[in-house]
Amino acid sequence: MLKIYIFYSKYLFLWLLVTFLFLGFSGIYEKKRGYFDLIKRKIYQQRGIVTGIHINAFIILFLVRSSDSIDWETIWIGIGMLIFLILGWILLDYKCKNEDGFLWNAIFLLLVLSIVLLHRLSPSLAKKQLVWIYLSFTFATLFSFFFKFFSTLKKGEIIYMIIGWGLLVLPFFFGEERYGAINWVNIRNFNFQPSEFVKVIMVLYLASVLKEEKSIKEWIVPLITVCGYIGILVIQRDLGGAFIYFITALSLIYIAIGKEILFLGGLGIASVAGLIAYPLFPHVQIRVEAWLNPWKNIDGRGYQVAQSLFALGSWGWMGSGLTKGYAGYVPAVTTDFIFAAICEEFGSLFGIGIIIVFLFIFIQMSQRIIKVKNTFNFLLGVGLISIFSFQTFLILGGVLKVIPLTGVTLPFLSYGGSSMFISMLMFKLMQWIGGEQESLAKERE
Amino acid sequence: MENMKKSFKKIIYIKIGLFLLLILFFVKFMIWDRFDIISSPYNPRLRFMNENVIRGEIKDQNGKVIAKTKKEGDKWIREYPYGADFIHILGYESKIKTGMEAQKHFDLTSSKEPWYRKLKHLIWQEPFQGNNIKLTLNADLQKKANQLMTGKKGAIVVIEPSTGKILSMVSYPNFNPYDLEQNWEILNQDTKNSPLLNRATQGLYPPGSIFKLVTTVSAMQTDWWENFSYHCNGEALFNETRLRCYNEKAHGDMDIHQALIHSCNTTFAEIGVKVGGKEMRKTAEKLLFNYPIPGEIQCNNSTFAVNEFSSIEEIAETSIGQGKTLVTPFHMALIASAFANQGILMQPYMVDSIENAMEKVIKKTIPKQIGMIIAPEIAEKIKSMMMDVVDIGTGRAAKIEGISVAGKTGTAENEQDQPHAWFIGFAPVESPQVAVAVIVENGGVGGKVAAPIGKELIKDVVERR
Repeated sequence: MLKIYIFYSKYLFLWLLVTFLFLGFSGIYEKKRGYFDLIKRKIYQQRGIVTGIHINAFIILFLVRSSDSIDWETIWIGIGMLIFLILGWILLDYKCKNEDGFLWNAIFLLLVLSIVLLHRLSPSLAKKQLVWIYLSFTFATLFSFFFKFFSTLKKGEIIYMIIGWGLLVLPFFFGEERYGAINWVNIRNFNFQPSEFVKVIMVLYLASVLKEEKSIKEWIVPLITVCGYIGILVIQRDLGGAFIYFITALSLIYIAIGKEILFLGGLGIASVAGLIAYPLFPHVQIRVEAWLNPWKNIDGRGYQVAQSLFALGSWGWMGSGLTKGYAGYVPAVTTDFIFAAICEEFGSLFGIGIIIVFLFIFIQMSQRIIKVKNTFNFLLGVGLISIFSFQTFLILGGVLKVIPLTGVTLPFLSYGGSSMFISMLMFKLMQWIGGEQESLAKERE
Repeated sequence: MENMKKSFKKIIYIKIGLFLLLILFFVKFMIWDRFDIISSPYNPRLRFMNENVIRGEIKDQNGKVIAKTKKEGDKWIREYPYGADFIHILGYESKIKTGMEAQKHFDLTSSKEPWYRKLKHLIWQEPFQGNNIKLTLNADLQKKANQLMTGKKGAIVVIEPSTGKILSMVSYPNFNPYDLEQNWEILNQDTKNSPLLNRATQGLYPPGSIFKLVTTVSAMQTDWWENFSYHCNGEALFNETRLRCYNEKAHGDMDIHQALIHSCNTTFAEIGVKVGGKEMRKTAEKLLFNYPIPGEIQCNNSTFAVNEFSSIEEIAETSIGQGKTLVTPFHMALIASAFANQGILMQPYMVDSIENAMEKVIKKTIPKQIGMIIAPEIAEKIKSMMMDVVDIGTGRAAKIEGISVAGKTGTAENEQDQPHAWFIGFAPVESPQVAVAVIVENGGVGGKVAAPIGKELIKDVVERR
């Protein structure tokens, strides 16, 4: 009977996700027209869907794991996440009225899937991830009371710049190598990835630099700083990070100055530099080779990409059903490759739905940010959404073999404290920037 | 500020484009690319997926079952009703996986049953029924081909020229699939008979006189071939090397047509030398020598060594099918089918369709051209010459009452005393339904040993229609 339940749950999950997306996109449309009551109802319906997916998935996990005796671990993690959802929504309803409910629903959906998948793959990681979710959400909420401070801060750029440099060079002193990159810091059993935090600091820095027009002389320091950041990441062999920094900085500078030639020129210079540097970086060559033809060296370099494609393709559009797949064979499946596990067990159609969820977050967030009047806030929002969307594209593209693989995490889905912490903070910051605008608009009314 | 927003909008559109690109690639992967990828032996899922699926059946073109899974006690056992007849095509599951069982493992072990059937299986706690594979082969013909080869060593390939469907493919000696486990050591070490080798696709043989067809194609691209004539004395000297006709028979005055009918070595050596190494190689490579044959069937490359720098004697030897040229029987059958099909070579295939357990077709192979490898007017002319080979020439043993057959025999010298006997041909000439290639290792003269086998095969196919 359990088999039948799992088998038909695939269709239930897909239907729930499609409905979720439909409610979200129709919500954007109605918001433009100002049907606020309808919107409120839709947000509640979406919450129902998220809860439904969570409960159904945990029932399956519980039944599968309780074949001999009742598995309390699954129950506690399931209830822990459920409580998070309820507390989170209550908090948002009473304290964060200017923030967009659809966006929070999308994030909560991703968090639910993250916990479900991690519990499926490795329950101990799910437990830790749940703790990270609580901590980062709480911290982001508390910290949001100080967000105002960013936009009023005079001469912030110097502070940001110094913090950025300081954090980025830490791995050289307390470094730890992971997956061929030295971008982790280990101080007294406390591990974190500075480049995750400096992402935000660089955006803060650039936003404060770019908010006023500058003479050519004043450009020297910012350029050196940004190139320096990227250079350090390249030296630490965190190429995914370097790439995200580069695109984000380029987008910001282009938007602030408004000349296409700058954007295209930057891309051109980077391509030339990449071509020149290509022979110098064997680990890049490995990645490119594995991307071009993973089958040639399937035991070695191509292993990861090949295993990912097997997971994506073996079960067809509807997937294997939760707990029925073999995603454990994919290396780094709990972090970088979690998308492959989603597609394997929930199906490729569901996977496409998840890509659309990310697209929805991007579109809706961009629409909020584009209305922002304050230049600093606007640039800050643009930088953050740029990081968020580009990082998502990089890792999804790598897993789907559209582009060479770069080891970055999939926001809100991948396991990882640093990633969860910073994704939540960035998201809260973006929500605040958009919400600030709405509160101003309301005041004027 | 307004300008900033305009620029931001552009970036938004680019990013949306990137995300749509991801979805597009994903959909493309799911629709096209994945099938080749997931059947890789490195995919660990293949091991587990068939736990819940009964491996599907393999059938011939008329739906006759040639491999199925049966329950014996509480174990599932693979059964082969035709015994050894299909062994090289189906392959074997144990030890090294080969053949259709390995190539189509994924399709056989996945189930495309309708949802209500799946629900039924789930309720009764029984495994799903895997997909069936329908081949282009004809089981009766295959049985007959195996019988014809009994006691011999060699290979047979039968193709439908207009589509590229493989109707039969036999490599002999074969072995019984049920004995494989016990006799693995013996089979594997039997280097004299090599029963594990699929001679039809993997065996490389000197072509002998059937290669004269290639020399003829090459000659017909020149402007002198119609006026060409040569006086055969039964032997001739090319630099240091002496070439002889069969039994040193002097054929007298020969043009190309006559030379092909009587398979005159000295004339063809002369033609080859006159055409030259460069042109010969161009023709041979157009006919897929030295290149892999497109399609799903794994096959060794036939090799052709002569080039513009080759010596006269090397070219002379090569033009009559001796020398360093090596060919697979499969490739020779394809060349016969190209002559039959106005010079157009169809991509050979063996999997006609994949159907679910309810016999609903899921995927069907559509015949595809590889290309025009011989000019149509040349193919037509050679076709009539090949008809004369069977009517009045060396291939008389392939003549069938009421059916016009075209063919070419070959007798290929090799290290052992007895030459390999070759025959390739097709019929009926007016609208060919079948092309064959037959080789009998160390069998003797092609016209006496291989041509009668070719005749039986052709008769079998044409009369069945």
